[in-house]
Parts: sequence; structure tokens; C-alpha cells
Amino acid sequence: MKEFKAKIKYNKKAGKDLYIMDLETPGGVFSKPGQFISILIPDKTLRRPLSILGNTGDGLQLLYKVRGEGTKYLSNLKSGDFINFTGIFGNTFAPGEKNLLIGAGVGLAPVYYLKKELEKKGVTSKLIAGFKTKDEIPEDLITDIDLISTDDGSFGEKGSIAEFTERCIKENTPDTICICGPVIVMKLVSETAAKYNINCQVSMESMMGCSIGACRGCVIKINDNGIIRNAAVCKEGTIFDGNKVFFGGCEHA
Amino acid sequence: MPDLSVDKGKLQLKNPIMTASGTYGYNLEYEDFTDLTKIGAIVTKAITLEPRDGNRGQRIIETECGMINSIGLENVGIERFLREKLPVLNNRGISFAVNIAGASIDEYALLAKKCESAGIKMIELNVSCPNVQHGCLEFGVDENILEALVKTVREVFTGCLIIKLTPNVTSIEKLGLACRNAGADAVSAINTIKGTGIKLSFENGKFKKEQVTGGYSGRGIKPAALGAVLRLKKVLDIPIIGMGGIYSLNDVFEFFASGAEAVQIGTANFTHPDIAGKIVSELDSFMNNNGFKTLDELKGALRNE
Ligand SMILES: Cc1cc2nc3c(=O)[nH]c(=O)nc-3n(C[C@H](O)[C@H](O)[C@H](O)COP(=O)(O)OP(=O)(O)OC[C@H]3O[C@@H](n4cnc5c(N)ncnc54)[C@H](O)[C@@H]3O)c2cc1C
Ligand SMILES: Cc1cc2nc3c(=O)[nH]c(=O)nc-3n(C[C@H](O)[C@H](O)[C@H](O)COP(=O)(O)O)c2cc1C
Ligand code: FES
Repeated sequence: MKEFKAKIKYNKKAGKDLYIMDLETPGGVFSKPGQFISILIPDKTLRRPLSILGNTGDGLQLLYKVRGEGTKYLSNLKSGDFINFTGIFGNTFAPGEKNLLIGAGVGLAPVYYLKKELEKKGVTSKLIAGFKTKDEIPEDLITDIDLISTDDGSFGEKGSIAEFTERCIKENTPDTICICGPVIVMKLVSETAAKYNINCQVSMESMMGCSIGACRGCVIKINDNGIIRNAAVCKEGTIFDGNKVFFGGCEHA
Repeated sequence: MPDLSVDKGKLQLKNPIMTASGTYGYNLEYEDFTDLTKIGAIVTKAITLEPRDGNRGQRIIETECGMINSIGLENVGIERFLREKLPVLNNRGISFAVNIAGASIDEYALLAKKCESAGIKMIELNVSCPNVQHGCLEFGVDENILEALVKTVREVFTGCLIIKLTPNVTSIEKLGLACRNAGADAVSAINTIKGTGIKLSFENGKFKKEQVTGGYSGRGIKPAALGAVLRLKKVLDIPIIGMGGIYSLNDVFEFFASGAEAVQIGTANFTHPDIAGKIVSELDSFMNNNGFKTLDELKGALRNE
């Protein structure tokens, strides 16, 4: 873990309110799929966590959606500007031999990164992704996604990506599912995975204070072999066994 | 080389920059970012007799000038702390104070006794906890109960005893005096201010609300904290450790000017994980460059003494 000053190589619009940022960190930085960084926003108390979309060797790529002031600030930055981030935080996925990777919305970032890493290693994987509507699909990444669904049918299949999971399981017989997206989608997919006895790894989100396991602000409840306990999403996660997480309809414990 | 040490009775620190309870973990959480041995003292997360799970639901939310937290004293409990966390602090030569929290006077006394037996030199009582024996009012809001609590702990703990005062009272002076009369070595102020943070968004024709009620901390509470330190300074002859919204060396100076002998950095650690060590270095350079040989000289200049 370190504090980095990174130069923005480019920060380009990738869809409606959607951006891909390419950062240059001197000497590069070591990261794994599923890990995240926390970005300093001027005058804000809390850093903004963003998942890593890719590692270019001399830096990192991010995929983010403008939601409030912090991400709005990021979206206005230009090539050559600098940002301060801390990282690299969190654990990584433990892929199997045949993987089904699922991204919903900007949850695509970590599973996209995983797909690229698995390709390098020659491990089989299929990447499917769901979005509310066509505008929310990051254009640059479309060609790498094997199946796309939109809630309104404006692109690809019509419906929630959770609905297509079962079909993909039957077609591809994966031994492992890795998913990142809204809690409700991860919950549904975990249930489907359990039905087919497939290992399912979910990437959880939570409000983060310190990002380093010190404040206990980000904990969720997990069932750790029968013991119900707190787990810090920033440190023990963000990736958990889908069977162990209490989704409870909200992102928090 | 200026002398940064604090030498006020039992309050003995290599420098006046401490880190605040609940924001700095138990021991090594920040070691990748800052040299922990450089810090005046790190204050551990509040430790209770039994391990605690803390509160359910969303625990933090950002506000305009800070944040609200409702962690609910999640911690590993004193036994595990002494077994797993304390040896690391000792082996690494990190200066520290243990922040303790109880639900009754007996619990505080037992915790303090265990700290004493373990050779711990400095404890900070978090008195912003509900007193289960007395209608669940916080210990820190009633001067008689607070005095009784501090007296009892004083009898079993010989090291530096710091009482951390809550700002959620009408007259913080009375509570500070109660601590002093009961034999406290120092008071620290302030703990978080009660408050609620709400975050609304309007999507697809519907409001979405995130809401957390708990303790307000960060930049926005600095004026309240400085005010508390000033008021305490008027009535107390024991050292005051100031905190609340410290983000820079200049903020530290404002606390010195108000009468603080040392300070704690809390929420700013989340924004800048290297801040504690950095402010120690900045203080050292400032004193060096401007000819202040001791902290008392610097504080004297800030207080126009
Ligand atoms: C581990 C992790 C990885 C993430 N990865 C991505 C990603 O790859 N792409 C992406 O677009 N978004 C990602 N997010 C969400 C992203 O952090 C928020 O959208 C962002 O912080 C919003 O900040 P804002 O100032 O624009 O909006 P605000 O108006 O400040 O907040 C909007 C909402 O964002 C969330 N948020 C704000 N601050 C934090 C914080 N400190 N910690 C957690 N959540 C926060 C809250 O739910 C809040 O209601 C991730 C979140 C987490 C926890
Ligand atoms: C997330 C969080 C957890 C805290 N936990 C404790 C605690 O366990 N015990 C305690 O005495 N104070 C606790 N505090 C209060 C801080 O130690 C400090 O008094 C307060 O935050 C004001 O300082 P600041 O504005 O620099 O953060 C906590 C504060 C925060 C933000
Ligand atoms: S954000 Fe502080 S423990 Fe996870």
C-alpha cells in the first residue's frame, strides 16, 4: 500500500456519464483483478474507491460512472493532470478452470480485468454483462464481452443479466462464477450458482473510510463456516464467497 | 535539533502529535504510509472487556465538512488485544495509549487493572459510552458520575490517565474539573459531536436516502473543538490534549494557541494516511527554521505569554 501521484494519460467519455481513465504511475504498479484504489478529491473528507479496469504495465485504467461531486470532478480532468490515489487495496478473485464472469453496470471493471488476465494465461472464461440501457455500455469494451443484456432491450438481449446466468451455466458449464454489480444482481446470481453447485465469488461494495482495515466503517456480515462475523470489505474483500455473504437487500451489515 | 518532547507531569511524549482513537486501528494498520515510531503516541481503537460486533447497517457517511460515524465500538476485546496487538506495539517501539470503554464503573476498573498488569503506561478513558447501571446516560455528561469513575480507575492505574471528554454537554469545564479532582493526569477533547448525515439522490422519479446518525468529526468540528480547549484551559491546571478537525500544522498551532499541550489527528488520517508523520516533520522543520528550541517556547509565542 502506498500513496501515488499519477498523471492522466487520457480521460475519455465511454458512454452516458461513463468514463475510462488511463493513469501513468512512474515505474508501474503491481495489481490483480478485483483490487481497487482510493482517489483523493479536493476538499472531500473521504477518498473515492474505484476498481481497477486494467493494468497497462506503466499504470492503471479505471472505468467510472459520474454519480456525485467526486466523480464529476474526475470527469473534468484532462490529459496531463495529476491525481493522488492510495492503493493497491483488497484481495483478488480465485478463478477456476472454466469461468463465467459477470459484470453489471460499472461492476464490469473488475471482471473485465479478470477476463484479460485469464486470456493471457490461456484459461477459459466467458464474460457477460448487463446494463440498464444502451447508453450505459462502455463502447470501447463491447468487443470483449461475449453476451450483453439491457433492461430495456435497447442493445443485446432484453432483461436483467441475472436472468441469463442460468442459460450461460447450461451452455458453458463453468466451475466458477465471478461477479461484480448491484447487490440484488449478485444475490440472484449467487442463488443460481448454489443451485448448480458452482463456486461463486462476489465483489462487494461498501462506504469506505480508511480503505486499509483501520476504521471498521465498511464491514459486512459473513457466515464463516457457521460463525457469523464482521468482515472489512476493504481488507478481507472486496471479493467474498457468495454463499457466505448476507446480502440482506442492502449493501451493509 | 529542536526538542519536541512534551513533559507535563505523567504526560510524557516524544512529540505532541498523536493519532486519535478509532481512526488508527490497533497498531500497524498505517505502517506502509508513515513511520509509526515517529508519532508522539497512537491511541488504539476503544477496547472493551468482551469483543464487540458494533452497529449494524451503514456505518459512515460523508458530510460537507467531515463525516458521521456509527461504528458502535466494534473491537477484539481486551484479552485478544493484550495477547495479539500489544506485543507488536511493544516490539516495534511504537508509543501508544490504550483507549478503553466500559458499560459500568467496575468494567472500566477491570480494564484499567488489566492494562496496569500488562505494563501499559498510558490509557485514555472513552467516557462517551452509555452507563448501563445509571439509566444509560453517558458517563461523560454527569460530573458526579464522571468523578466517581475517574477516582475508581485512578486507584488501580498508576500510569498516565487521560480522560477523553465529550462535547455533547452544557459545561465541559465542570466535567474537566471533575476529572482533575479525581486525579486524572490529562484530559483530551473533543470526542465526536452528535449528529446525522443524510445523502439524497433523485433517480427515476424516486428519492433514495442514505442516513447515518452518530458522531460528527473532521474539518467542520474544529471551531467547536478549539472552543472546548479554550474553556478547559481557563479552569484546568492539568494538560489538555486537543483534537477535532486537524488537517495541518497550522491547525495544530491553533490548538496550541488555545491551550493544548498535545494534539490528536483523527479523520484526516482517512484523507491523508501519511499525515501524522508528515506533521511531526513539519513541526520539527518549523521550529528549527524559526529558532524555537522547545515546545514550550513555541507555545508561549502562540499564547502571547
Ligand atoms: C470497492 C469499490 C469499488 C468501486 N469501483 C467502482 C468502479 O470501478 N467504477 C465506478 O463507477 N464506481 C465504483 N465504485 C463506486 C464509487 O466509489 C462511487 O460511485 C463514488 O465514490 C461516488 O463518489 P461521488 O463523489 O461522485 O458521489 P457522492 O455523491 O459522494 O456519492 C454517491 C454514492 O457513491 C457512494 N460513495 C461515495 N463515497 C464513497 C466511499 N468513500 N466509499 C464507497 N462508496 C462511496 C455512496 O453510495 C454514495 O451514496 C466502487 C465502490 C467501491 C466501494
Ligand atoms: C470512524 C471513527 C471512529 C472513532 N472511534 C472512537 C473510539 O473508539 N473511541 C474514542 O474515544 N473516539 C473515537 N472516535 C473519535 C475520534 O477519536 C476523535 O475524537 C474525533 O473524531 C475528533 O477528531 P477528528 O475531527 O480529527 O476526527 C472515532 C472517530 C471516527 C471518525
Ligand atoms: S474502510 Fe476502514 S476498515 Fe474498511
